[in-house]
Amino acid sequence: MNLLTRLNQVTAKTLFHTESLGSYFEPLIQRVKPAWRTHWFRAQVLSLKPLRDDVLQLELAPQKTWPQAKAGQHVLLTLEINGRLMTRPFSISSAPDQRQTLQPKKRVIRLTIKHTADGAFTSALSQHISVGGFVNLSAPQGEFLLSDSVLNLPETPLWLVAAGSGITPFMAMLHQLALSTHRLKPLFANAIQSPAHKPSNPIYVVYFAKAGEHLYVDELTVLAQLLPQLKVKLLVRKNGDNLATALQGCLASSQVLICGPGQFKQDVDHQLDAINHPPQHRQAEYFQAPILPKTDNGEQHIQLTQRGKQTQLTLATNDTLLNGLEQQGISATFGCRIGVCHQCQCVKKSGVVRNLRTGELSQQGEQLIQLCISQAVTPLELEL
Amino acid sequence: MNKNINFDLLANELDDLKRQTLKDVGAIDAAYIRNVIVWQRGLEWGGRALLMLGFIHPLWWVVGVLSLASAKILDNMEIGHNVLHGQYDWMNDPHINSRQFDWDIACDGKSWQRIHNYEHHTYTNVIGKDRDFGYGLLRLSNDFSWRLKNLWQFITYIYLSVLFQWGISYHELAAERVFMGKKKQGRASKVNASELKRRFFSKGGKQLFKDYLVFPLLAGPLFLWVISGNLIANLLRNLWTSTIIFCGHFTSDVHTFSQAECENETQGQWYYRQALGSSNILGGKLFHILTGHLSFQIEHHLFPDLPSSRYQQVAPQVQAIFARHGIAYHTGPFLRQYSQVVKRILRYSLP
Repeated sequence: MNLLTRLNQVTAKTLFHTESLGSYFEPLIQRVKPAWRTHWFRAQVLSLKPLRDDVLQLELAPQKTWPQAKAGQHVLLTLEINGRLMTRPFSISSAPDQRQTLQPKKRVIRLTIKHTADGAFTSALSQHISVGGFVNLSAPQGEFLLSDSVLNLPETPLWLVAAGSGITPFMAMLHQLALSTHRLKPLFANAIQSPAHKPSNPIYVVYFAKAGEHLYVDELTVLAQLLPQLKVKLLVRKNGDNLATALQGCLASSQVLICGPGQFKQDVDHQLDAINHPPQHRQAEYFQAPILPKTDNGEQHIQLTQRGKQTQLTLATNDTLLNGLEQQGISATFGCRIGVCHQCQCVKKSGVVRNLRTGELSQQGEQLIQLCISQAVTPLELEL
Repeated sequence: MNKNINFDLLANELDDLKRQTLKDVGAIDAAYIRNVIVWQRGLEWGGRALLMLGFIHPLWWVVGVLSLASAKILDNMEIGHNVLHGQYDWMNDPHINSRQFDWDIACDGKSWQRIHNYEHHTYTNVIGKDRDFGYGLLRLSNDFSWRLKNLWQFITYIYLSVLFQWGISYHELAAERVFMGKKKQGRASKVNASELKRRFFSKGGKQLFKDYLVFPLLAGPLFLWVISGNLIANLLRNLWTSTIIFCGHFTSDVHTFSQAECENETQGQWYYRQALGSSNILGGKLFHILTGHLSFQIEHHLFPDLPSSRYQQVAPQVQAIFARHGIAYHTGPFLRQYSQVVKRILRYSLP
């Protein structure tokens, strides 16, 4: 595979001045296969349904080579909107390995997309795709998954805490749990895949939204019938519901998954801290730029290599590398700016950075980092 | 600089025109450039295949040469030049953008981009700053003192046209600095000399390797048909690009500027200099595409990163703005513009 890739690159570079044969032939292939793109998977739009005025549900059939997603993962969805390729991350809200009813050989994934007022992508979405048309997908990505303890220890209670469209990855997880429960009944002996047992963990869904704006209420009712241990609480803050009461009964051993806006994630964390729930039993996925911790107003030296050219820079350590570089007039490729899409990924040759999403410090050596969520801790050598 | 022109108003009007035009840029323009690429691929492969049919009837070979030459012209002009200017970067396409793109000529795309987009487009026709005025080879105005070598500069010009891709490659590297160690004051190179040399040889070598070794060898016994076809296709492309580019900058009306004139230049004055430093060529739609829309050299110099698919549309509006401000808009049919270029080269051969 590596040898073939290398051969492809060398041939393309020498004969056609492109990085791969695919990129040379791409415009030709697109004549026959619309939206065929190197580096991207193709998916056909099966249905397009508004769940609410501001929420769109998209069913897609990805091409066969698309890797299977795990429940809780997201994909990057790329559309050509008025000539521009635009990419955004969306959680998958269907169970892995879901099949199309009419053509069972085709896989289906469901994306639930909330329209945001300032979102150029979401507002153009419904006008630029149509049933039967094609979009591009990345491989599924993300580590927001049901942990092994949930899958293997039937006594671990599972708390799924969502706000607004944060319910989407949980729909995938609940469908997966329901499917495995029912699949396991007749075929228990063949249950080689995880979960290794019939999932019977108590499951609590704590779902905050504005009054009348809860998504998938009917589906959650059906899931509650399939999974008798599932308890769903649909909550509205304005009606007096609060996290303190919602999270009552959450044990220290409970696995808590949180999905919602950044502020919501912080509120849930505070409440869980208050009831002594250990942070290592929590996972969170939130959709907002990371909040920068206030550090001393220090500076760090950066040695930047850009297309063979070296530059020395001094960047403030209390901002992201991406912002810092841009303020110095250096344009780095970027995408989502919240650490999801990896378009701003670059090579850190040496030095330590802090990952603002996880708070973790990197190793000293060479590795790939994302500029939009990294902060300089020591002097750095970067290659753009 | 002409003091009777309201430069601020001129700048506002041209800025407005650019803004209005960019607002409409979208799916049509993306489809346009992809379509040109599809044609380029078709002509290239059609051409390479037809070259080999020369042994059946030489006419096939002739058609093949023309087809391959057209592909190379499209790649160089409408696709390469414009994509490297960043005109299609807004598409966010991983392959059709100024960071990724390289073209089918001896000059490394990155080196060209660095020098051409910066030096030539910022300092158009400023003597001493824009090395593209005469390429350091030709004396094209009285701004340069006469030297003996100018006597035979028409022959130099013919050589330059024939070897244009190598001329560009050498020139954009600022090779006289890299190879001969000549230094010019106040001009710091962002890329070191060894890197520039490496790029010069690596890209040039690849070009020779593919057109004069790989493709001919792939043709086996039809080696000679292919190698000669490639040679002539490259030659035709060189002559075409050189001719078009000379018509864009060296017709009789084109002005030059001194460095002093351009100090503390406002946006309006910059536009004015671009207008007088360039000239257009009249022609049909196909002609414009084959020139990479450099037949709209004035519009290209005013708005270098406006997608080429829009130059035909903005041209009448640019002309109207110039007319209102009393600025000359230099344009004419190809033969008239080209004869002016020839006259200019000959005129300044003599003191």
